[in-house]
Amino acid sequence: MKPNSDDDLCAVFAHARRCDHEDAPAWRPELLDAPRQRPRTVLRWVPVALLTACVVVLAVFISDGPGHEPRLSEALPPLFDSPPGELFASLEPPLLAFEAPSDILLTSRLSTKIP
Amino acid sequence: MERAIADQLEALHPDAFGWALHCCAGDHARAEDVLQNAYLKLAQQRAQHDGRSSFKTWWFGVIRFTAHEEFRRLRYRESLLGRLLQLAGPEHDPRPSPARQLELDERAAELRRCLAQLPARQAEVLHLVFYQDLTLNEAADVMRVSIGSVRQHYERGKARLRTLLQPDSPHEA
Repeated sequence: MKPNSDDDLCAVFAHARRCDHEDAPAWRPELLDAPRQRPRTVLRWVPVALLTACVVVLAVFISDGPGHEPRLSEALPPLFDSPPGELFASLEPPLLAFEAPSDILLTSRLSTKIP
Repeated sequence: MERAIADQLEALHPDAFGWALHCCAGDHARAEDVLQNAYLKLAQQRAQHDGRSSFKTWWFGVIRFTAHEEFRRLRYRESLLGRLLQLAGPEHDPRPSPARQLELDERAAELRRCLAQLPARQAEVLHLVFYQDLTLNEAADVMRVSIGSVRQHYERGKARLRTLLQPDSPHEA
């Protein structure tokens, strides 16, 4: 990748490299034995918050359990408690008594009288 | 920490410091901080080599990222909000002390001055190729850019650096 015509630049950089190496701080292997980073404070409270939320949900579920639920028969309105009667008694006018204006044309109404 | 990784890190330590120094624009104190923070990331398993690239290119990528984090932190401290929030602390001068400046080799210092005048990507690729002896592909891995982009930065950077290194070339302050 580097053609030979770059020897001038290589020499300059090599010299700078030697100077920097002389100034480099000593290798300290103890830096690599640093303790692992402790989890952040926010993350430490996550399990506590989750546990609290579970306790609250459980408490609500237990206090509102099936023991307090009304029975189905009590909850329904008393539809079938009224006394039995005619099915369409309340309809006005009565369906059978209805007379249309054209009823006069029916054969039962017509009486032809021959003089 | 595995023994094999520790051995690799020890072998790469001087070059890693040179790379950190480049990422920190020649500031020794910051380079030491950056390298130490990168080692801490490894020790705390916040950075782990997944084997997709060579250990050296991966490790240099970690150092580069850590240096950028440090740079952003420094920028924040220097911002107005940072000044308001921060308690009065000792000011940090990124330039080397006059005594240190005298100690620095003139040619090495000249190279650093010239590299500082190049665009950051060009300076990075030149450092990785000529100083760290990486290939262009490896440099692209470290810099997280495409090989085509690296090649372009490499060619332009070389031409510009040669011009700047000539004795009669003007230097920006």
